[in-house]
Amino acid sequence: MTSHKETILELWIAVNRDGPEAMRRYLSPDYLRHGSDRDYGADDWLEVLADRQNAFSDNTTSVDDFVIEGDRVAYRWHAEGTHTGTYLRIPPTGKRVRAGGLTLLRFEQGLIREEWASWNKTTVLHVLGVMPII
Amino acid sequence: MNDSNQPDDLVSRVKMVHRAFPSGVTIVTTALEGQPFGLAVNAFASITLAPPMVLVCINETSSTYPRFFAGSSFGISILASDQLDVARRFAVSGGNKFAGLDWLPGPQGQPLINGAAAQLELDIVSMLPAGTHTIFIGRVVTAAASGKAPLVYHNAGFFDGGALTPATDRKGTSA
Repeated sequence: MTSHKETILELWIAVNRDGPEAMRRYLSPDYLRHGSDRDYGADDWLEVLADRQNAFSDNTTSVDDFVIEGDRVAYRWHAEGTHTGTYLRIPPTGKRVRAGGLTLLRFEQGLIREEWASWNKTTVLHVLGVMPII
Repeated sequence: MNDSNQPDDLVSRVKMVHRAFPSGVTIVTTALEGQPFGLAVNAFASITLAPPMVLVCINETSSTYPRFFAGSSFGISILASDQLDVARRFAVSGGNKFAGLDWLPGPQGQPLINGAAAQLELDIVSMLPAGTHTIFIGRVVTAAASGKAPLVYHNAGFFDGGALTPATDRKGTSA
């Protein structure tokens, strides 16, 4: 049986190679992601990832650390990419960006059922030279 | 109500307020791979002198808007009173605004309008999206003032900044 750690590593290898849609087979039909602004279902979340992929076309995500307890996994990750498309309404700057974050998730029947994520969006905007007011 | 959910009468009153505030006319420019881009902007202001920083506000619907994100610098030419034709040329959208125009790259390579009242070249310090516009804050790298009178924009019209008469108080004393 694949360990939770192996599943997460495999998921990101697949996404880096094949794009965000490759994540879908790791997500439960009842997948729910609790973001900082709102909750996302699988379709919403994959759309967010696709937007990110379009804006940072060479974007890759790496997993840096894990803590695993039962059906729960916490992992630390970072992503890198070049800003080649519009992102958060910001036209392409050509800048190289690195973002990092923490994700806590819960597995159910071998699939990711629920995620709580936190990442440094503000730092990314700072690297792009942008700080939105409204 | 309009798109930004402000009562229309408030928007029209704010427009009237802005008509009570004269400004100069600036042409804000950038160069990408040697090609110049620019637009007319009157939302220009000084921020600090040490370090020297200014801001301009650019509408995101402008065709030139995305160009300012692709570079790290920009130029500002403050038009002189005899450059009404330049103001009109840059106030319209699209087309090659630099064709036949008297301009040169500044010391830092930013397109600057010859014959202007003043010219600046700036490095972008920060970009702050705010509603329909983005505020570009620039740190001044080169600066030149020609001494020519500025073109003045006031109440939706253009005026000769060299033909202004000094204001007087109630006793008839000039400022």
